[in-house]
Amino acid sequence: MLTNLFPNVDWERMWAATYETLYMTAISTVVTFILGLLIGIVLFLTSPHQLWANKIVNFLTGSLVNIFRSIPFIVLIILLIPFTKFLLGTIRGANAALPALIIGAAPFYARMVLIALREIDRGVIEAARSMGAKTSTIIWKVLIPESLPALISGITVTAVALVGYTAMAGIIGAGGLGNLAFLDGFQRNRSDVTLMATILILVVVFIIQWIGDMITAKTDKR
Amino acid sequence: MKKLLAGLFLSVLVLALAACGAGKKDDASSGASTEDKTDSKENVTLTVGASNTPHAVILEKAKPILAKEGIDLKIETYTDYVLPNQDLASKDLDANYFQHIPYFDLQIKDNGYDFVNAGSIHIEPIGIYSKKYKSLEDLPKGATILLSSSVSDHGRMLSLLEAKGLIKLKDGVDKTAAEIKDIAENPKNFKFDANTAPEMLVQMYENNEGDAVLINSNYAIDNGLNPIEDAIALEESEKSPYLNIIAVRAGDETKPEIKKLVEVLTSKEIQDFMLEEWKGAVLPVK
Amino acid sequence: MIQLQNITKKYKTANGELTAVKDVNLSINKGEIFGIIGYSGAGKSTMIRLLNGLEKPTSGTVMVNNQEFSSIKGQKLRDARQKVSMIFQHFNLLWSRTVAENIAFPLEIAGVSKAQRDARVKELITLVGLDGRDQAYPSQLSGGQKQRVGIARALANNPEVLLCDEATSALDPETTDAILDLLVDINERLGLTIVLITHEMHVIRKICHRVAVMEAGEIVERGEVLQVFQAPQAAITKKFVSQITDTKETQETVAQIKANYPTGQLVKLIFVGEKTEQPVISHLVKHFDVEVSIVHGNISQTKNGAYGTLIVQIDGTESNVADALGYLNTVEVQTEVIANAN
Repeated sequence: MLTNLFPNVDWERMWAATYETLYMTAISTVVTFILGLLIGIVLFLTSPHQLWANKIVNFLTGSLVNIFRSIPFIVLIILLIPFTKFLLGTIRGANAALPALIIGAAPFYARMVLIALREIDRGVIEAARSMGAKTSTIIWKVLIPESLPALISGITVTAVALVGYTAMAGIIGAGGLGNLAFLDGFQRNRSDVTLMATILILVVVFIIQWIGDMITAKTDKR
Repeated sequence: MKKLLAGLFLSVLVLALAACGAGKKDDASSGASTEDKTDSKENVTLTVGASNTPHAVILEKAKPILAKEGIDLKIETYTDYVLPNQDLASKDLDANYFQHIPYFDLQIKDNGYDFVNAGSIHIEPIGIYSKKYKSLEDLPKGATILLSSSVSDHGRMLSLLEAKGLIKLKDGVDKTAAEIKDIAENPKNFKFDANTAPEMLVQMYENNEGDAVLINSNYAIDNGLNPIEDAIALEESEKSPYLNIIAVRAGDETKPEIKKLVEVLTSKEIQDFMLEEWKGAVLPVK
Repeated sequence: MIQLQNITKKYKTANGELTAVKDVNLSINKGEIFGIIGYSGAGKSTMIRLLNGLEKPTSGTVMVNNQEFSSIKGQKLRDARQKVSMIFQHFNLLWSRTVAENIAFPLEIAGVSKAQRDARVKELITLVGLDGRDQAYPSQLSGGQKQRVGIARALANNPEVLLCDEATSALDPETTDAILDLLVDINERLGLTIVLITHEMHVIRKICHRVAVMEAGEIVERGEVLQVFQAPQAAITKKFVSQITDTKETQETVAQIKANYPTGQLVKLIFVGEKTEQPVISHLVKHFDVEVSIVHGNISQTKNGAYGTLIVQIDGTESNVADALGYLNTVEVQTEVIANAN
């Protein structure tokens, strides 16, 4: 029945593209989470009145974040070609898209981390200090656990954005559903391919959002 | 219910805005051309969509010549191969100059456009490029050959490989529409990677991706490559079907300004310019 | 146990330099409950934070439990902080951790093994009266319960000093009393030195041995609670004392009384310690031929004894009334004439 509704769809390619999208999204989300968290923590702790308050570091980090956030993703892919080649030895394929995906998304997530950390009650950090906690303890046992729901909902938003970005990664041969929708669907005027690919992207996004919401609710003990 | 309707309306609005905004680079004044009677002379405005190189460059050269004939040429540049035809169909363009005949035919077949070839102008022989190997014979067994992800390019690229004796296509296959699955013999067991967008092929070549890369000449020239000097193999241009044409909506080919455009583009002045500028990478039609 | 010498703390603000604490000298003894009272902005928050190094003085030294908190840094400071704990007005519990996990936190910081942590946490939960609530999250607890968790957490590493930053200011009166009772219990059982800051005199009254009154960064009065109550010197101290003796209501009542009892003298009697128990009033009536009407009475407990005030109307001949007042002074009952009829 599906073949009648979607005559032009090459199912093998469709599943392959789905896998490529999931692969790129999953890996870039995980690395973005780690990198963005680190940058966000630095941004937070170097803010005025915080434990590592340092105007210069704070300003430089903030500026880098703003710069990379502002670069259009497709331009970022091209700008990062030498770096990607150096790091991975290739600039083709799903892996080659990862540096640009990560470097584009991490600053975006870092800002969300900063917002999440700012929401933590200052008194709790003060209490931890009064108990003799060192900064690494405060980071791992206070900052992160106390802002976890916001951190999770933030990375969920970022993951959904990354699904969109992966579509553009198709230009360097990374594949993915967005790329398939464009090349096979739009360029060849086969709207059933476009439709099917879009439906599959929607399903991926729904699942990501659902997982994110579930984890956020579970970690929120307030 | 109200919320659902509001949401739907918003989504449609956003999609509509997105569709209108995509693609075009220069010149926001892309209105349909009309008989522009603002000048004291009887001036005609002609809006032509073109690829960056060499098409737009050639048009720029032709612009003053056309101006003398009372034709005000407006050039719209495009970075892709789909929108110029869409915009021609929607009357945002009067003509476009970026595609060769086989691609033109495929686009008409896929989209049902009512277009006509107003005249052939030049050929850009496609080239095979390799940083690792100096000639086709040097390509080792199992070498990776990179092709454009635009399937309509494959016929041409595969025909070139066949012409150079590297592969053989199945009998009875229309060479201009051949696809990778139509390869009958592949003695050196080449691997074909057709995932890269055409505009990124030069980057792949520059970064040593794969063993050989087939690159459309306009992108090659755009990125500083010279097909004549840098390619390890070049397409034969005699009897090639890959003529770059001026395409117009059916009926417009008889318009005087269109005829004039084709005349100027095939004039000695412009043809000499092509040869001088690109030294054989862009060959004017005889 | 605690010595502050020539402590000054200045802050740079947008409007210039702000002096939060001005040349303060203070000494707190081991095992005592010491209160610091002052209105908002008096400098008491800064003061208490000097005691565990959360604030460093601009000049002067802070010695707590033989550690110079004004100058130690890094690991030394962190180790020292395990022995000087703090509880807070808004409890400052980690909402992502259960009660047991919150109490275990300082033990984790001190590197105590899991088995030992679990045992100690159990002990502390019983000590503060939270049995059965160990798996609850702070969001499920009342204010009083949260403060108990705060106290348990503060006691985890067997501190020598407990600092209380407006610990009951966010609690209702009953819960406040329960928490204060708990603090007294801990002080008596464990010999824990307690320093608390508050703006409520009844807290000082109920549990402190000694008190210091702060105003605009300086200590304007200090001493044993009963003494300060009896004879407040500074205007601000008087204001605070009147918080628990003369409530506004009483002052209004006095005006009413003056109108109702036009003759004789309205006198406020202040009884301290055991004197509150003696039948002073009936003695007055019997021996001095005066009529005594009791208008208003108030007795409160302090750490060092009872403190009572009585507003009475003493009516009779001038000489009898004068004799009666004279007698009162001999039995160490302070008298304060509120109003003469004439």
